[in-house]
Amino acid sequence: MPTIADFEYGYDNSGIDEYLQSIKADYLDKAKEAVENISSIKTCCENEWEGQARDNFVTNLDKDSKHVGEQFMALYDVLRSEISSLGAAMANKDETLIQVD
Amino acid sequence: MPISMSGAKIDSSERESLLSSQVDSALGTGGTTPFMSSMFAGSGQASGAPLAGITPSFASNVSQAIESYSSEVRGYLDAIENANSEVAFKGPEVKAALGKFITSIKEVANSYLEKLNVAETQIIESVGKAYGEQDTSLAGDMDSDSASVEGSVIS
Repeated sequence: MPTIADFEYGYDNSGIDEYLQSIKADYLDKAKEAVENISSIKTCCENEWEGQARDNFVTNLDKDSKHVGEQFMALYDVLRSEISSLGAAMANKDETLIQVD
Repeated sequence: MPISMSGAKIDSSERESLLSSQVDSALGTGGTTPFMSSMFAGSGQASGAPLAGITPSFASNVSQAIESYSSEVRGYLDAIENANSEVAFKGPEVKAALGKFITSIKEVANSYLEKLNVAETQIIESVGKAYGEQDTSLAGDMDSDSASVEGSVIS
């Protein structure tokens, strides 16, 4: 039976949560904001390009950029779920190991 | 399907639901959302077809705007990739989950940016063709006008 010192996995629940929140706030939210901010392209098109093709391009770009932003958040939810599953597995392992017969 | 890990049974139904229902292309699960519709979809604008109503500076300006936009997005992707996870936890499974997350984020974003790059190329090519055709048309009109003038007799 392994001892606590033999554990391969070192983790800290608050540390994990802080890390995930940090990933989201410091990186993912900003990446999502950057992807969805098509204003410079849109302004350029609106100022210098007339016609139905322009309207469709801008509309599709807006739709696609928002979809990519949603994908970022969906992937983050998957990451959180995976980490939670691993955390639960670790907790279960700990409880098993500390049981006194 | 439950995950077994050192005897622990974890209900992964929520995770699998997330994997199968919301994330498309990046994790290879296929999705219901029409990810990356064509930038020209619905416009009736074939690749290389001339675009109407553009300014002379449009091509360079839109190219610069797209390059700047793509560069900013890639900067954030690099920042995510470089985020240090060692402080919070360690272990191959956690690293694998993080690695998959980062890979998937980059895959989704890169696919989008590549599509945007293709659209940019199409627009630039179309702009060049439109100007070429306008020049030809103008030249034809001028030739016609010249012939008309030459044939005229000023009394």
